[in-house]
Amino acid sequence: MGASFSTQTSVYFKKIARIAMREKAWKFIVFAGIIAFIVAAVVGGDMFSTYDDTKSGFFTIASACIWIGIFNSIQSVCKEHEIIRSEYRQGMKISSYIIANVLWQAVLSLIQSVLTFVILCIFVDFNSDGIILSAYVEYFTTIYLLIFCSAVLGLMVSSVSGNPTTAMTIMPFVLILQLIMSGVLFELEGFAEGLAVITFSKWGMSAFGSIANLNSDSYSLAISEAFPNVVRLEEEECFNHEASNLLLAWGSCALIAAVCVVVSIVSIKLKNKDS
Amino acid sequence: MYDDKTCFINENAGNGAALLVFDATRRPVSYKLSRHMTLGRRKPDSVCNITVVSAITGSQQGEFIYNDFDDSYYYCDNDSKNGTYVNGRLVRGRNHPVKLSDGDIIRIDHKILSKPHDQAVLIIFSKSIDFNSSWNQCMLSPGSVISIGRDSTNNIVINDITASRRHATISNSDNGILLYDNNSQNGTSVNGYDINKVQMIYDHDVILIGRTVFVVIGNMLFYNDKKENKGSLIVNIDKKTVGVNRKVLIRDIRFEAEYGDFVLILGSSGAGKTTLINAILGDGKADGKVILDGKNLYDNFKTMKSQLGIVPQFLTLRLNDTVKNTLMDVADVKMDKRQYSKADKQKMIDEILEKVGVSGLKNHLIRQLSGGQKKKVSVATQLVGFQKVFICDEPDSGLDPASRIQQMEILKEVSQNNKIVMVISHGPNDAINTQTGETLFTKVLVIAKSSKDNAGHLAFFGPVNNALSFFGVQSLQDIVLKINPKHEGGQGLADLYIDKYNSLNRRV
Repeated sequence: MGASFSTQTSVYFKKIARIAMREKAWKFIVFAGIIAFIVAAVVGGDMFSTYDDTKSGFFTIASACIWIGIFNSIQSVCKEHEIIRSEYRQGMKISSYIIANVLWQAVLSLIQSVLTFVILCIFVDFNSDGIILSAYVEYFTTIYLLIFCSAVLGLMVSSVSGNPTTAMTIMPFVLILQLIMSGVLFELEGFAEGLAVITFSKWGMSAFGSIANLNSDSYSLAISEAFPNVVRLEEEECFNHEASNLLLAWGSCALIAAVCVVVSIVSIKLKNKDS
Repeated sequence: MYDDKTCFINENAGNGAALLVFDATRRPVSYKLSRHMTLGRRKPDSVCNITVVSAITGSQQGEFIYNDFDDSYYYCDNDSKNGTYVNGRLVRGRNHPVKLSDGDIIRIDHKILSKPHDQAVLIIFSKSIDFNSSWNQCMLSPGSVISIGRDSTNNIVINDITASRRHATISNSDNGILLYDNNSQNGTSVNGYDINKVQMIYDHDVILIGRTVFVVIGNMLFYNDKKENKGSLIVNIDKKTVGVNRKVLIRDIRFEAEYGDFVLILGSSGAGKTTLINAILGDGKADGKVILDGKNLYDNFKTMKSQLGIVPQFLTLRLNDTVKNTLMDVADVKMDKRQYSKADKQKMIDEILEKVGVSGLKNHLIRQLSGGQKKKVSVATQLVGFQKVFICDEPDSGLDPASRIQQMEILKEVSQNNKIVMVISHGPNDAINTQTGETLFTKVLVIAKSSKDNAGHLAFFGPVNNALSFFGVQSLQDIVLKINPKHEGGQGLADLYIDKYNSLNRRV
């Protein structure tokens, strides 16, 4: 009988954190800061001016968060498959190993989220009415959820992939899928609309849009500057400034991440079923 | 025809095998076994070597006979009136010798073993009980509760790292004697079977906790000083089948490897080497038994799985962690913190680092070590905890000759730490001591595919020199040529050697 689940999780969390520090994990934080700075500098001035610019700004922020998150973890498990096989045979619980990785990503994502949000706040005025809490807290929570849940998605891709090359090959497809399914670049219908339900970009946009109350008449369309009588014909329900909308978006992100954790554990167990 | 004479005389025959005997006097008596010893009732004109006070034992009840060929002891019942029970199974008659393994329990008793006859005799056969160890006793008086473990607060303290701090408790209540396992790391067994939390204990039951043997005789509990770490792996496979047609892959594989053995597994391709490995590891269970230190692996798989290891073909270390942290994490994962303190683990790690010769590098990062040092650390990680058997499927494949030798030397080092290492290798001649030129292996196991049933059979198991004599070859590599089919460039003598081995093995 080996150590318990909680003990093993603690052992692996400390090990992952220790090694991450030696492998210069601060690079991920600096990298997140640089991305946030570029995004903020580009979209900051135009945020909350028109509907189009605000929506594009949120799309850019959501995309950056997803990118930062996936990049955090995409190589974390796939480079350790041989080690995992050996340690599993010695009594390691795969669930402990994955949960420890998730916890480390939670910490790393938190630091990155704080940095990203602080930099964004320098360029963007997020001061508005929140839905449940203050708008600052809600925006920060959304950014954190997007980075963390994307990191968990990256963990899943890494677990399923046999090696780092495969993981890095899959990553662009996952990112493109996230961008397309946000519903910003293209209008989604039918199957694509259904598929969008399992992407963080869709729920991230929904959360940002509802906090900012994008359906509000205060956001004019960009085209309105030339043609003042042009109005939006159809509001997007997911942008309604309602608690149910925000909680649904946050909950969906958390649920997808939970599924990713389960898939990660199952895929590694399947890889080692003969060990 | 083949020559089957005299190449198997072992000068150290039966070295260390002993019997612990409890007769009607209810006192333990030890006997060191020689090549041939007889067992009978004690009387003035008795000619037996081992005499017992017991009215139900025959004047010449049975014999213990050493067999050179397989380096094993057998028990023969001399057509006694009451017969003899070996591990609970009645044997009677000279034509049914029973091969004895470490921890086997021999009883002369009546049918209901849970209620022993007052003249019953209990004999424990062991290669691991220290012949000269003293035996202690403890009264199991009604209402008493006896705690057993490493912690000094226990009633019976076992100074043995394989026992947990508070390992087990024995209570004598109105319902009888109950044995409780306190979520111990390595479990508690009764008569060779792991118990599940609690079990009723009967007179003449044999309990194993860590490496200490407890025997219940009436209301007395006898226990020895700790056993030597000299256990064994006994493989007794009738057959392993696969698919809906139940195709037989291997059949009649029986051998016993002891701690310290470095066993080479040889065989033609498709003979069933990997199938055998999987059967031993419990990944593909076969019809039969795999017994480690007297406990059946298949019956106790959950608790015993961690005692079997696969030595990875490649280095499986995280390069940016220190040697010390790497080993401590392995210990933290393998060993329950409720049963083993940080100090216990640190002591174990320090000893292991000393053994493999990297104690001066414990604060180094793995990536700062040389290739050889990394391999030593890799071996050290395998030694942490309680693994007893290591199995390696072609650990030398894809390596250059120098690395192959190094890899084999490291595996040899593992076996020398009182472990059993079994290796499948297609280049066994590379596994030599670079200074003496002698092979590193202590024993050879050969599986050959029989043309009769197209299944893998045991064609040899024993010391390396015996193997070379048996097959009439100069090097281990040549053995495969003997048994390989002709269309694969061999001599196609598999059936011949299977029959030869079986005929020699049957002879007692």
